[in-house]
Amino acid sequence: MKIRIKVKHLVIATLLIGAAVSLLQLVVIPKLQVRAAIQDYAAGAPGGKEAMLAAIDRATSSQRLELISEYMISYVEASPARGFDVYVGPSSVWSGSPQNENTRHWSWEEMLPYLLEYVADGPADSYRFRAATQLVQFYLSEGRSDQALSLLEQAEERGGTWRGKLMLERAKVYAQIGKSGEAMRLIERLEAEPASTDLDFSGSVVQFKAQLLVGQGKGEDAIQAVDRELKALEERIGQLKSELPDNEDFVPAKLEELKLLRMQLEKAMNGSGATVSGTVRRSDGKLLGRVGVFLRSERDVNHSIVDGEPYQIFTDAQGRYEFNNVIPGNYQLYLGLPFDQIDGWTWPAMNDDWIVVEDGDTLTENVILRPLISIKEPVNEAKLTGATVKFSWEPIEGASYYALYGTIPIENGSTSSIIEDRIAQSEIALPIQSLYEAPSGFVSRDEDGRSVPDSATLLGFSNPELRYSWYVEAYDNDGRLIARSNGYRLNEATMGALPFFYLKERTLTAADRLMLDGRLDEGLAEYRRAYEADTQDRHSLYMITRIYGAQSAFNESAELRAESIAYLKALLKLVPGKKGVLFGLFDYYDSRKEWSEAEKYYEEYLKASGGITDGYTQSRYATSLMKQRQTEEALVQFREALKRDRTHRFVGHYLAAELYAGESFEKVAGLAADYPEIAPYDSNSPEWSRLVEAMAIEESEMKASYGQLLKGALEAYFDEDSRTLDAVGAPMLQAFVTALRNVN
Amino acid sequence: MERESMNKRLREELEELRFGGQENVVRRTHPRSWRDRLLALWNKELELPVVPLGLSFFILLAVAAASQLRSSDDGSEAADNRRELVEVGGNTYWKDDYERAVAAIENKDQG
Repeated sequence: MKIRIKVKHLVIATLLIGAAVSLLQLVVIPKLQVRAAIQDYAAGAPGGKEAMLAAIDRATSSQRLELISEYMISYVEASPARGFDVYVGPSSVWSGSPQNENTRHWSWEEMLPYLLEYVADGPADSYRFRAATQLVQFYLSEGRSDQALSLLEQAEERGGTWRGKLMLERAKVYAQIGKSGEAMRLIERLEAEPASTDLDFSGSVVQFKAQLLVGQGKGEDAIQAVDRELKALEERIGQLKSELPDNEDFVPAKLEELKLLRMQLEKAMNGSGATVSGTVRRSDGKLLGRVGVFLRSERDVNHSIVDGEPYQIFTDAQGRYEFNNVIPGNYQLYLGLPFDQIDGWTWPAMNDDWIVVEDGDTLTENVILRPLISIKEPVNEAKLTGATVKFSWEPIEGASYYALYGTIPIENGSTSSIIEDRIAQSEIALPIQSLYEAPSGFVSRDEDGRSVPDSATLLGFSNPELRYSWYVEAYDNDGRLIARSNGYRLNEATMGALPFFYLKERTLTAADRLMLDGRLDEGLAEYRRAYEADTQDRHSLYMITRIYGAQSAFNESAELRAESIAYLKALLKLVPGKKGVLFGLFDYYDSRKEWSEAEKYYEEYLKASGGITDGYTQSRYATSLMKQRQTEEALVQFREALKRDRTHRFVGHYLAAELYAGESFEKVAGLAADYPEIAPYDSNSPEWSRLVEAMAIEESEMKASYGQLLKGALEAYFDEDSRTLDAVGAPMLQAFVTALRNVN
Repeated sequence: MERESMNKRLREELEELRFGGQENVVRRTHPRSWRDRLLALWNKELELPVVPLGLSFFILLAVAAASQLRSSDDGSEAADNRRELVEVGGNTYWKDDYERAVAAIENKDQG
């Protein structure tokens, strides 16, 4: 088949097709490519980054800036508080928003020219501010502070509404490189300008100014500045509320931050700023550059890291960090890390690792990540049927002992408990009973509006159907954690063996099945029946004590508790030297002021634990002695316990004992300063040294009778005589005993 | 009869008309100037075979479409690539790695 066509028609048709193709090529396809690049990049597809770079390079100049802002600047966090994959601290670890490994992450080499272009040509918007701060962080981490400063200055010129913020950033750079005078000059210029419409901004300026003032030893001025800002902020909030009456609950985060800052400043009234610095590296010598370091105050550690926290920084290429003008107080160090830096490694920080920053201190806090301990057995869902369970792991250099933990899966998570402490070797064979009777946690659930223990979880490690897991921690001679086996294991090399196992030595009893079905009361009755039929039935007896323990945890019933004591004693007879049971009995008799019994069980507890006790247990014993008026012995125990428990939660009791022993207010106030109480979750932890100093002043005013008053109040506290405690008669003494009543 | 009269009438009616396009006709049939030759070429009729031409067009289109399809495939694959973390047994793993490892153990147990 053929068609007939004139040459002119053929030519016209060809031209038309050509035009269409070039339209496609020059306009439609680039648009499609940009769209595909955006899709690939946003989805984290392999090659998405390259496609995005190609799209940016091909785009027209206006679209170019748009792409840079949308897909480069907004994907990289200039604030260390966000954008890291993992945040690690002494008491918590959490994952940030996981990025797709490296498919979306821009390296500095890739970003640099584009960020510079955006700062130079981009509109004065938030992206430009972010680009500038990203560049500043980069220059600082490279030690190029001059470039950071000139970039900010350049950005300020066309800064628009962002000029003030850029200037604050510049002041922060000056402070960071030790030029506080320059920083203060900029702050003064900022303050001279008309107030910003941004509610938070002037608060941020004041937060920073307060740091500078403390750095100069002008704590009083810092408090005044914060007070002025608080007043102004509250006025503006009031104004906003009257304008927008619907937003009644509106409280800006800055207000809270300023209030906390004020509290901190008050504590450090005449203090001058301190310096905290160090390096972050791995034990193999690798320096961790560009990781986040956070110095977090005790008021902040109970929430995740926010932008408003004052001390956050990236390490430089040599892994170094330095915080200047640190306001005295109690702090913990946190890290922000990308997955590849934490994968297979752990930072062995401990719960009570507090950095106590005092006036003008220069502190060095180095961070060393250690490899995760690799575990040997039991692993990979081994089904254990023997009467002993052997755990073994790779020995760690410098470890003086290990602690072994077991993990029980529960709904939506897991609960861990210590199985064996102070293991000298890198392996241990344990009688399976010690797992069955490990003091595991349990879950509660809501039943008719009250919390009841979830009976299935009370079985702990006694359920042959459950898949348990384990991990181990290594400690050095001084009891410092040096490594652990649990952590981020994100590739084949670091995953290692899976720490799962089954305990198939026992089979479920009828009572166990009732427990699994959630029938707690029937379960208890069945255990009782089984135990009465066979008084050697250790499992049933143990379960009875566990059910009682769980129940009395929810309703403080003296009756239930008394009932459980007989079973605890029976268990002790069957299995002498059970530490948990011994402490439970001490606690019971201590609360009933049956001192000789309490004393007896504490001694047995000590014997069972090889003479080694922890700060909490020893403080409890010392408190018991104090209440028995065995003040001298109590003081000995308190002094040892305070060294073991670095949070000093029982320091109030210790001070009470010292005062009761007749020590002077001056000396006791000094002791209080030596053992500051660190209470991260309690924003009203008492300032013991001030309470004591206030009593000293009160005494000088009241003269003679004060000693008697003090003795009477302390005795009323020891004897829990709340009527006397409520009406002590001297306001400062009253404040002291009120604080004592909250010690626990 | 009628035919003859028709003929006559036609002649009468066309009597006024004279053909004056001889030159044009000659130019077209025997083009001499460049312009005439170009015009001739412009209006030349070609006979084109439909099948090979259509086929080649179709192939071109198919190639273009295939390349488009492939790039959109990449996109959907990438969406599946998003990895989730899972926290289990005290460790944090990539969920897919973890599930694969557990499946491998369980297969070995059964085998």
